[in-house]
Amino acid sequence: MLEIRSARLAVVLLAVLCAVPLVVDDFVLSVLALVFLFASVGQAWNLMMGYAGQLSLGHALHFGAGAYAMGLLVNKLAVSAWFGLPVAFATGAVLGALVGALGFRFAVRGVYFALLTIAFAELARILVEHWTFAGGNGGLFLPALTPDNQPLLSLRGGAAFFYYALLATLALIWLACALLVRGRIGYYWRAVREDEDAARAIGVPATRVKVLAAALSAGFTGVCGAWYALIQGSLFPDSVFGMRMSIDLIIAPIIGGLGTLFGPILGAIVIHPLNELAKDIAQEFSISGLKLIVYGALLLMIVLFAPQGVWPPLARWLRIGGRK
Amino acid sequence: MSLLRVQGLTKVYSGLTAVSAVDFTVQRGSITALIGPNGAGKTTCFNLIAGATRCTAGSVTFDGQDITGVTPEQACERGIARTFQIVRPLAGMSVLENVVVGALLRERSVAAAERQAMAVLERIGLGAKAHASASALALPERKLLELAKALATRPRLLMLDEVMAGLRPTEADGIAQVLRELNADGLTILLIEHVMRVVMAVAQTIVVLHHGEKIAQGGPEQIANDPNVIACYFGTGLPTLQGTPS
Amino acid sequence: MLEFYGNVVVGGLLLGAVYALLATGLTVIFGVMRMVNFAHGEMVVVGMYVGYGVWAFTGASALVAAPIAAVVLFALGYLFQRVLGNRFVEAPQHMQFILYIAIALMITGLHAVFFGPDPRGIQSAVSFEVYQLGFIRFDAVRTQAAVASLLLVGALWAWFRFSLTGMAIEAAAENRVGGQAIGIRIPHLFALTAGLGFACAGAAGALVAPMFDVQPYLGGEFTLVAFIIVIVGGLASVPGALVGGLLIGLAEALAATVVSPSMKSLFSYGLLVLVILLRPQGIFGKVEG
Repeated sequence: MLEIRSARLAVVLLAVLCAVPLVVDDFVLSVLALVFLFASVGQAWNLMMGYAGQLSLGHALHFGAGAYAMGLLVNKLAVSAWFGLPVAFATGAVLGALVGALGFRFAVRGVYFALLTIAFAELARILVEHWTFAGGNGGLFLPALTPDNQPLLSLRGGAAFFYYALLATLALIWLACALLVRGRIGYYWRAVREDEDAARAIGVPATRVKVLAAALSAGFTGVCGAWYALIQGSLFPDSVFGMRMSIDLIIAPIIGGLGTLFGPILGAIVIHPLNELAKDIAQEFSISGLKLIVYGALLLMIVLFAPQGVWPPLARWLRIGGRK
Repeated sequence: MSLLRVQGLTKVYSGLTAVSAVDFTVQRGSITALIGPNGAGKTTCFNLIAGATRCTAGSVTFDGQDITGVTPEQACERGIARTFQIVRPLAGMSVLENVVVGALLRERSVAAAERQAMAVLERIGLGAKAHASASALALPERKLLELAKALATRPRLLMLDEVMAGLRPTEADGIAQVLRELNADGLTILLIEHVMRVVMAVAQTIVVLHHGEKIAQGGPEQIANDPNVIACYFGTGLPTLQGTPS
Repeated sequence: MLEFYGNVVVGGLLLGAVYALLATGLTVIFGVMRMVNFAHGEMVVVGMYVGYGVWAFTGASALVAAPIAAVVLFALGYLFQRVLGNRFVEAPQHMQFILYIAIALMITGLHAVFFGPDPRGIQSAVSFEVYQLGFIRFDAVRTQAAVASLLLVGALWAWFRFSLTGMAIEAAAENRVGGQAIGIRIPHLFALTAGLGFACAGAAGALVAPMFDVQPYLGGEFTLVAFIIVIVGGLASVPGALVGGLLIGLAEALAATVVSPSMKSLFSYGLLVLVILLRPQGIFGKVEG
């Protein structure tokens, strides 16, 4: 019953979102495209945190790796962007599996695991900053778009194109997560999250299951990084691998609600437009730093009054299953 | 025929010897009880057998195969299921979902696992609470859930750690009855227990630990009259253990 | 050659001493209360602005600004812990993390709003002084900062070791419930601990202000350095913070010189990874039970 309600909501939402470009201007579309991007990453990060129960504060590693994978393929090897997507996924997944396996093998938990992920992201940042082939600190630039550019070939186009592309990505990632969570692996993930030792005692291969969550989480994040590269057209190590990006990636799912399927999406819808709005106000009054104050205050409110995120109370109000 | 054989089992925690050179066997199809005063090392033995803790020395042989040093999930996969002294339900999930996790070890699909889980719950009398949240159960039901999770993995050896603790006599008898039925169906059971009434009524073999060492092994009558056993519980110069005053 | 590297080593160790003060503040908060203080670096920046302010208004040196910064940050820390922090001591770590990130963002934002994003440098007579010992040149600012830091770290260590309150805090760190059972007022003690931790950060900031241009966005780096030192040195260990601080200061100085300035953190992060994987309790820490 609850599942049908949940699926109905998803379909309705999707239909509405498909119609949006008809009524809204390009600027809003580009903001929404980024919202979808961050919602997708949020969903992916959620797999790690919400289901495998491991706090990753270095997800920029996978984001940046995917972005640079796409960037290098398109820029240096003149490969079709379509090819870049699976490569970005694979790059992310391998990195995620490695970090996860290392961490789990050495029984690194809690904040130590989080710091481990930060260390790896920072190491990647520093290394890429010195990698001249990838442009180093100067950045990596995708070739400029020509007038006869075909969005469906190059995967780069106008605001509307990216809007639909990222909406599709979000829908696919959401669907993948929903199916996984409903299945065998979902049960194992939730068991490991609740009590890993108790889960092991009833046969759950906890380490394998956690590494899978880490790999999938990182792979999806890599794909989103690839899209980021296509949208931005230029990449700088500090911005895609940096701590600031790692934080930006996880704010939305935490605010939206961990361990839920709609939480990260809701969080992105709330956070990123607000981000843009705060940026606007700050520019309006040329008060730099205002955006940070607003951002911080918002996070503080959430952590004090709605620590489970914004989604669970909303879900209860809509009478849909909360934690799933 | 021995199903489980433990030899020279030893566990030392920086300076403290919890378990020292313990040997015993558990016969296939039997109910064996592991008893002893608090701190005797019983739960540590369970942890060593089930792979939750690494042995300092010694070996564990299950159904003819050496399983010393396997992980808990590997032990479960081989057929050893254990419960915890302080029950560990998967709190955010329903009763049924808890058991499904166990059932997924042997079932291919989620649907089949759900059917198996439901069957186990019905068998031990928790069927009505299948969709309740695991954290909303009262203690006796939590104990049953703990048992159900273990049973869902279709074990050949079921290890129960003080499953009777905190239960009223009627509740304890209820579980004892379930255990007898499971044993009659061929399940080998090894239980740690303090409730002597249940131990004497249900166990065919009793192993007694004290300060990490095995001090006696035998049938209920034999153990009840063993002077070493009496001494470790009561000190010297007291009558037998049979029929603990309630 | 020897002269060059000798000076690099000395410079690194001197900065490392200030890092030690910074890390002591975090090891006290993280080690005692297990709170993931990701705003630690921002507290350093607050201290830096205090240092800058004191210099701008009175021309006084960092040695005067440091105690002022310490007092200000102590008050901030005590207040923060009493009002907000204590509610999160038992909270899951990702929640603590968000709390501190929120605080860090707001503080950075406030700095940017009030002082603007541009870096501000302190130029005073002391900035150019150098003490010469043989072929080693001790930069006066760094030397004074290092000595002050070591004194503060030593004083704090002694206080924890020998004072009643200090011992109570250590006791509470080892066993919170037990501590409560024997009447230790945990909320007050934790607030005190937070105050001390922030005070260390603030003092370190004031001492470091003449060395680096003050700007609102330095917080993140300091936070990460502090965590690296604390993990490498060992949680809740002041000697660990000292040794770790010196080690990291030295490593950064050498890496910056031998490889390149932007690579200075490579060794630190590499070391962090190794420590987390192979010896998570750090050099002086105790193995968790």
